[in-house]
Amino acid sequence: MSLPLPAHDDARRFPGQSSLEQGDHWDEATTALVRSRIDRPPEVTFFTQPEEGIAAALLDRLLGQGGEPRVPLVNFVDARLARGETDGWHYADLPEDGEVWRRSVRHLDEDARERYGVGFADATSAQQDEILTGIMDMQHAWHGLPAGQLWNLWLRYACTAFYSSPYAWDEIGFPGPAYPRGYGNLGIDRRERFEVRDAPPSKAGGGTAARGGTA
Amino acid sequence: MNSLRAVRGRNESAWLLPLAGPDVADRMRHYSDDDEVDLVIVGCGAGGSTVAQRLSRAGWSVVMLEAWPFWEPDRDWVSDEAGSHKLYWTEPRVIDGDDPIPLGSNNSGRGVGGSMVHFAGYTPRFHPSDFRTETLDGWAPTGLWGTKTSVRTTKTSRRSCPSRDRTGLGATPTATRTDRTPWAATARCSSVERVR
Repeated sequence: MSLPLPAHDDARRFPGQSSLEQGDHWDEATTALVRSRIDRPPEVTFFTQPEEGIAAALLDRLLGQGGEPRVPLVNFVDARLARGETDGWHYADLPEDGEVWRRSVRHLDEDARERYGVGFADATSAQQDEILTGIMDMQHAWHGLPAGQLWNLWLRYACTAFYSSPYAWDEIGFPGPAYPRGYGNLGIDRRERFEVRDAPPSKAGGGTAARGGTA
Repeated sequence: MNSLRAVRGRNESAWLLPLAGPDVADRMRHYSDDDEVDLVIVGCGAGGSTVAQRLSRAGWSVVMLEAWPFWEPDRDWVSDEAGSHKLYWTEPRVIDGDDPIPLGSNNSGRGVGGSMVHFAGYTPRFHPSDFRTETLDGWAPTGLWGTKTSVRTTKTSRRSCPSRDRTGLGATPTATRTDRTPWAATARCSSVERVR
C-alpha cells in the first residue's frame, strides 16, 4: 500500500514492499494492534469537532499528506491526548501537552481568520503552509508559546503518529514487527527475503524491485 | 569440573530451566498484610529482583512491592514502538534553561522487571565457563570488537545471530562451547571474527 509522495519523489523508494503482507508472522497481540490502526482508527474524544478539523489540517501539512490514502494522524494524536499518554516531560515555558495542543489549535484558527478570512481548516494548503512556516522560523513566542518548543512538540506527536502506520513503514523500507520471526540475514547491505532493495527516485525509471537476498 | 561443581553448589540458578508461564503471578507465594516476613523490597527491577531471588533461595521470606503491572508478555507486550508506550517510564519532568535539550520518549521501563522491560528482559545467561575463557579456551577478549589470539567460532542457531560482518560491528564476541551448556535448546549464538 503506497502513500502518495510529494511530486519530486517520482517513484517509491522501496517498490513492492508491504509490511502488512508479513502479518502472518507477527504475534497475536501485535497483529491485533497494528491491524486496528488501519481498520478502526480510534474515535476522536479529546478534541472538539472544530479543534479536530484544525489539528487534522495541521498534522497533514506537517507530514506533507495531501491526498488519499492518508494516515489518520489526528485520530492517533487525539487518542494519546485523551489517555494522557505523553512523553512525561515538558518544557518549563510550555503548559502540559494537552493544553498546548488546544491553545495552539485555537491560535492557528485565529491567525488564519485574521489573515485570510477563513478558519485554518478551510484555508488552502498554501495559506496553511505560510502560517506554519512563519511559526517554524520564529525565534520568539507565538501567542505566548515559545515557537521552537511548540514546533518540537507538534513534530514529536506528528511523527510518532505517522510512523506507527504500516503505510509509512513501507515508505521508508521498514519491514515491520519482528517478533517472533526474528532476523536471519543481519549485516550491512544484507536483506531479509521480505525486504526490498532501496530504489532511489533519482535512478532512471524509478529503480528496480529487487527482493530479499544478499547485496 | 570440580570448580563447576563448586559453583553449582553455591548457586544453582544457571542450571534452572525457565519457569515463567502465563500464570506465574498467581502461582507465586503471597503473604497477607498480617504476616511477618524477613524482607520487603521496594521495586521489582534488576536490583530488587536479583536480591529477592538470591535471598529467597537462601530461605528468606521476601515480599516485593512494585508500583506498576506484573506484565504477561505474550498478552501485554507488542512488537511495536507506539504500542509499547505503557512500558516507558514517563514520570513528570520539566526541562528548563536557555537551550533545554528534549528528553527521550521511550526510556526504560516500568512494571515488574523495571528497566529490563526495555529489552523485553532478554539476556542470554552467561555460563560459568564464560568467565574462564582464558583458562579453558586459551583466549581472552581484548575489547569490544575482536580478540587477540586464536578464536573459536560456534553457532548454535542461525536465528537472530549477528552475521559475520567484516567491519567488526557485530555483537560483543563470546566464545561458548556448546557442549558445556546444560540447555541445548537455548537459542544462543556466538560468532567471533578472527582478528589478524
